[in-house]
Amino acid sequence: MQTITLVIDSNESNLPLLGKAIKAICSLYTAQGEELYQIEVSVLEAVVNMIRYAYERRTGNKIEVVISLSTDRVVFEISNTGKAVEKDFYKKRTQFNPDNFEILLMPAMGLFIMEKFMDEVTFTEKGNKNITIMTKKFCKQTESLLT
Amino acid sequence: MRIETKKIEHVLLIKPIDKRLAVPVSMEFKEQLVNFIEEGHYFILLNLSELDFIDSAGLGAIISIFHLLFDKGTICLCEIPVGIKSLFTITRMDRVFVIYPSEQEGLEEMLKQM
Repeated sequence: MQTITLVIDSNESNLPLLGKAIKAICSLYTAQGEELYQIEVSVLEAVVNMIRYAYERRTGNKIEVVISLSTDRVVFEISNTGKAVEKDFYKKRTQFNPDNFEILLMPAMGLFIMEKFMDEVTFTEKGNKNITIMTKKFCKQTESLLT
Repeated sequence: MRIETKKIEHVLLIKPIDKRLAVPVSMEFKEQLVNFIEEGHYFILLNLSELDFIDSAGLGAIISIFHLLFDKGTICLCEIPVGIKSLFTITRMDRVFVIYPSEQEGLEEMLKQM
């Protein structure tokens, strides 16, 4: 297991750069283009939620993305020290109903995407940190290009 | 967001040139499309071939345009890259939107239906 930590300011203009970094790091372990996209979009949905809801779009705050990689999976631990979300925030994902697209609550669609594309998603708090942990098992196990 | 447009009869072809349709540019993209609708363009074919990333905000922008055009016209999609197609599948938007494999095919079909 290899680990790297990325820290960004809570500014939405940083998202493309963070996305490219995540894609580049994960591409050392999987060459599947679709899988890389699914990882990138899931992480960025989590980060956008933090910028918009934990920091209420205020810049100048930190979001930390810890990436732990092994040959068969990648685990992201994404955290902020902003406002803890209300208890039922994460239930919003159940409010996105693809069969009734009249109901389109943006955090709901983002949470829905994270749950569909990642194998495990958990939300927790530790001290003053709000943490989202997501695991993606690679479709095709590969040797790390780092070895 | 940089886009290319071309009017062919009643159909407005719109092709984003940038690679990402996502936060932070999705709102600007939506406003660009709303302006086209306000100018009277009610039949839009959106070519997504240049994109390599789209998120819920980008998809939400396209869905908003679909809603806006609901009783006036339509927005169809074409040339969705394989890499990002799974977003349309998991959200089942591939059942909501008419999606054409090529711009030419989309254009021919849309013109035929007018």
